[in-house]
Amino acid sequence: MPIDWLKRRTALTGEATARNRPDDSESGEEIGSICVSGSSADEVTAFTDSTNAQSKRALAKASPAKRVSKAALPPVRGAPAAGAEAGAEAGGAANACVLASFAALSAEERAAGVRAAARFISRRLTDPAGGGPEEGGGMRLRGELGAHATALGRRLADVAARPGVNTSVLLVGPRGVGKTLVVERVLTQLAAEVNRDPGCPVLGVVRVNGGVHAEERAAFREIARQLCMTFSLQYQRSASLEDNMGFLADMFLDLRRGHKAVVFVLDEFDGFARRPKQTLLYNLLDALHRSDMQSAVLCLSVRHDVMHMMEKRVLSRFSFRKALVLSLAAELRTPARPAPAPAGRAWGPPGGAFAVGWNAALRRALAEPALLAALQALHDQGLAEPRDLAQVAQLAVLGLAGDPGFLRAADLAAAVTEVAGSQQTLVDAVRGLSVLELYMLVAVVRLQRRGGAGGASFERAFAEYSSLQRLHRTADAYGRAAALRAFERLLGAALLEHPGGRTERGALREFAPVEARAAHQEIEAGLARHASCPPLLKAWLAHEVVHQSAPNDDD
Amino acid sequence: MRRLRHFEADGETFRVGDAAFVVTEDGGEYESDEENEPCEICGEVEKPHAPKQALARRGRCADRSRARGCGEQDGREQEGGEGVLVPMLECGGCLRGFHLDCLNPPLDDVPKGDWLCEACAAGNPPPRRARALTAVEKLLAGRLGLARVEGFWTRGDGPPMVDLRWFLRPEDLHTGRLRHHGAREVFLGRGTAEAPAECLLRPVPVVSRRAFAEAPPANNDVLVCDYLYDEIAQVFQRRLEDEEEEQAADGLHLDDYEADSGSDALSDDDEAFKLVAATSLKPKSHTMPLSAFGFRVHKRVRKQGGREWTEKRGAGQLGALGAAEVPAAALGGDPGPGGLLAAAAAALAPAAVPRSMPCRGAERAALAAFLEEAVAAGEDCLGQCLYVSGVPGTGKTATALEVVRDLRRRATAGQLPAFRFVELNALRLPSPQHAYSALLEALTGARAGPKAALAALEALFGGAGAGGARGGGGRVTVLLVDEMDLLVTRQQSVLYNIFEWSTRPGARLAVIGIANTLDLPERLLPRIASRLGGRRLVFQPYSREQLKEIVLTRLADARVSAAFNPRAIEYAARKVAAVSGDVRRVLELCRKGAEVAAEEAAATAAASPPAAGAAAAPAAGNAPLGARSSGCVEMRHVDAAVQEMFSAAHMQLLGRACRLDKLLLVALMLETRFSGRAEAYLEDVAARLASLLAARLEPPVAPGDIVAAAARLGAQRLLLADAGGRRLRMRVALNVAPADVAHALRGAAAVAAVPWLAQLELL
Repeated sequence: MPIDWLKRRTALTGEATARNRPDDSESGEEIGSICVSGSSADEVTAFTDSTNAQSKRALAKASPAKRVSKAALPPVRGAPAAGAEAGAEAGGAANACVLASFAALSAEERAAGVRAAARFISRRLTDPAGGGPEEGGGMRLRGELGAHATALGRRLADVAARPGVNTSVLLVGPRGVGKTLVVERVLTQLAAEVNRDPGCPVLGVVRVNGGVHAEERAAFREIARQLCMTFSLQYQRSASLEDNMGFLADMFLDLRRGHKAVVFVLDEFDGFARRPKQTLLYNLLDALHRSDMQSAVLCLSVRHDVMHMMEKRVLSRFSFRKALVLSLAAELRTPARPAPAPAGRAWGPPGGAFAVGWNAALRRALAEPALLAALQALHDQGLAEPRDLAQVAQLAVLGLAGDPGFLRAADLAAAVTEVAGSQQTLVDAVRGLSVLELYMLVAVVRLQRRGGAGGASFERAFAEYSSLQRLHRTADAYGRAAALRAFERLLGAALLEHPGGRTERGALREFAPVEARAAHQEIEAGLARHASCPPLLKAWLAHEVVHQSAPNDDD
Repeated sequence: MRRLRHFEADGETFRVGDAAFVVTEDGGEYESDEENEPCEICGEVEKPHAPKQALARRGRCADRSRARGCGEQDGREQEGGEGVLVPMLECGGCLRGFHLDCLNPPLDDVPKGDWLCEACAAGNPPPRRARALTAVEKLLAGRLGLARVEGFWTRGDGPPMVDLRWFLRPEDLHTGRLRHHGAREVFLGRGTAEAPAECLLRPVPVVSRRAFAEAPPANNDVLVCDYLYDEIAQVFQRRLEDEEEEQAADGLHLDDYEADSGSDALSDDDEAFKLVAATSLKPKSHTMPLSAFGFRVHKRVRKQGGREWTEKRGAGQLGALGAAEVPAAALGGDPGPGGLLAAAAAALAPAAVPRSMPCRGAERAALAAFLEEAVAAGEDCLGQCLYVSGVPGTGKTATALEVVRDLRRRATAGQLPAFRFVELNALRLPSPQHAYSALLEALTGARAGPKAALAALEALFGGAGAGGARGGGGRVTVLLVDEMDLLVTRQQSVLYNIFEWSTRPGARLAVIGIANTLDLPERLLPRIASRLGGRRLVFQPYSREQLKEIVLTRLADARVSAAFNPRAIEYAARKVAAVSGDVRRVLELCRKGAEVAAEEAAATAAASPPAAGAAAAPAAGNAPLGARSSGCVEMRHVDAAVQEMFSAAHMQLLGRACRLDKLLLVALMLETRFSGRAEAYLEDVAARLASLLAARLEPPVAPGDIVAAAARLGAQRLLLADAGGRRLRMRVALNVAPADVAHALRGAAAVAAVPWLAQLELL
């Protein structure tokens, strides 16, 4: 499943031929050309002439179309020749000829295509809900999400069409799994169907977030603002809470009169449900119950027991409809074909030979067992939600170079490794410390390990460090002031912390107790990856007593 | 300038708010019109009956809703006697009348829904008349006008003038007359005019479509108006029915307050508090000294949304808030595709509260007795307080509102003295102290902050015992306080004041408090509890039979009883009665069951289109008799709904958890079992996990990943965990039952991921 997801999201869907450019009309045959806009033509020229800044500017001033037409593709005539070279199997020949045609593109086209592809895929990954039909908005949702979207779409279509049908739904699922995506897709589709007149919308959407607008005043103000914006009323920021509540009640009446439908999307619903006095929820749900308003309340949350946090009055008015959105399943199924898209436009995906080559290379890369194993490990670790996979794809795509220009398994594997290691923040922090800071940190850890009264503090850590230096006479002996500064930097980097919270005023900071936040293994791992960690330090961490005879390489 | 409230001419009385025929300039010479039209066939207006036939009500077809061929009888029939008349049926297209007997073939009963005469059914245009006979036809021909009276006034000694607001015919709209416009349909526009009051012909009842369909009036003069129309923006707005009731009731309390005699511009007849300018839609700013209370009355100005509303029913620009066209689904109560099941789901919607709540007879009687006693006491109304309690979803507020509605009707009919009704809901107020502002605004229309409102109310309810009589008229104020437990503050001053006022002699305030807790008065301060008195009314949760009866009544009211198998309803009622007895729950359950059944029916219909024959496509739209596969809601549909609505989400979430999460849960369960405590430190759990993995020669897990996994599970509340910043010093505890975790960890996916899980003893 993660493989499937990756494949669909990073494929270029430009199998159809791109449009002909006017300069090549004399050749009369289908030329698979890359669609470049004016700006990327500049980029093309800039890429080829990277050394000479002056000529770059000169080239940029020249008419872009002419410049690019010089680099026009020859028609895909190299295929039979490549096929003859390549070998026996049809599949192999097809692959080879595809790659050969890809290779037949000159460097400029490839670079331009790579940039366009990177831009297009990045946009699609970062905004999976929006954009036009070629971009994120047109991608097919995976099976489970699609089922949820269909059901929700049907309910909301009912709400928008008929008075007296109102509903409230709760969507629950882990973070990054696609709840907001489903809601946004359904709402975009419904709005496109229903809002035909831009001045007089039939469906309005109000989005509030339980993390941002948890407080009633802010929530009601935000609702008033969005309603005013949607229905072209004049919004006043200085209205009080009472005014906004009255406005909401009046708006419900007005919306009923005008046959309008409103969908309230409450993100981070537990922020609203956590409050002891749930005024906003009560007002919204009670309005649904009291009148035949065409309205829907969609609640999104991560906590699976958020329904029980609601007050009993509010819970009684809530319809217990739930939709559970689950993470990607572990088994890898055969990937589906990506849907074909119209030919590339100015900001669309690159079409033609580049797209064909890209997709073929992608399919090959995603079939490699090493990459599959890495993805499986990522999934086991719990970092294979769609949001994390989007990050993998994004990293891979942004790291593309112009040559060879398509995604390789190594790129993807590197991205996977980076995402997998994203939880090791403390290890990375330790890896980036200076040697003196490392000594202080290890001293604190030793003191903690030894136990005893008083815990660790700067004074005792410095004493420990000094005793080691006296014993071993390394080159890393520093004075107290430097050590204190290193200590403060460790506190600032949150590798050390004061256990009870803040120290009292007036207590000398050298004597305040500290604790190390990183675990023993993390410090060990950090030391192991450190660029210039002295072995004495590693030994000092590992053993209580380090003999003088231990080899110490001072560089 | 003097404002008048009513105007009499030629024996007809016109009041403000009535609709009336208006003689216009292009009406030609006015001739007297006939109220009743003769039958087209026999030419008689009245035709006596053969005595044996039962008399159905004289019905009229209301509008062009789609004909329902189900042939249900109109249930309201009376036995006919001698001398009763044959009913006359009106064609929906041309408005001509036909006696039932005169038709060929003769009909026995008034057909439900639309009926067209032969000519209209054939699509022929109606034959032209020599002259328009009735006033309604004259109106529709454009020779008579129809307008709403906004006010009467007279200046000096001049003739009385009237402010009018025009009604529009469908021909006057920007869309013209469309197919779905009823023959008697008009629209209330925004255009106004002033005219001498003699131009009014006679008052005409203009009712909503629903009222027209339910109780067709006796005479010919009735019109249907459901929408307001804005000529400038060319949009529509609905007229809502409950508003009309409030509109009628609003007039009740306005003559309580005497105007300041110092201002000679006003006289006794004037409506001192209805400061509406009818000649233009811009509000006038008026402040009136209220010397009885020392406050100025300001008009209610809404500060948000940029429009100033002068009345409750507001007349601002419609703009983007109007409907550009009336949607098809809102016309004529069409339930849309899905026929019977969709109609059943609509009947079970929470907002479709019936007029009279079933199964609450005793409580309704108790409430009615209390309120009648309070209202009838009039001057002697003292200390009347009632506390209503019950768990949510037992119908407390609905029953109270129903009783009040009933009493209002009787008061308008004159059987009871008039009274004022104020409803407060503590969850619709920004703070408990705003209850004073809301109460003051409801009583006097004055807007003031909480402190000023408190002072005004003190004065109003007779602080010294003397002031109350002035604001008199002897009307009792009935105050309904909903969600009363949220008005409890630390000093409990709000509730104390409210109940204190009700014990004052001149205040005439009766209070009904509604809350969920049974012993709220005992938990309040004793001084409030004593003022609250001993009158309690407890609404018990519904029992199984009551829930079933409620659902059946709802379905019967909408005439869709055939949609549900009674056993399905019984199952739903049992399920809900066992848990809470909450009527909202059972209605939602049945509604969801209907939706499941509708989806199943749609799926089977789509899967087997050729088998159904050529009528598959149109039959899918209105197939009420679809009993072949599942036109009915069965127990299995309700069961599916129960599964969705009552199931817990954590089992599926546990099943889909990743490998690390599962290992963490295993380690936590082992740790808690061996340590004996419910919670554990994450470092201990990590140590146990490390030993587990080491024993099975698997690679260890980094501490950062363990912390991230614990935080992830904590965010989903499968674990209870401290903040992730504490890292390995987090305390974690299981938030789901260990048996559930063990069950999930024995599942196929879990065993595939971690084969040695099956050998562990987790419980």
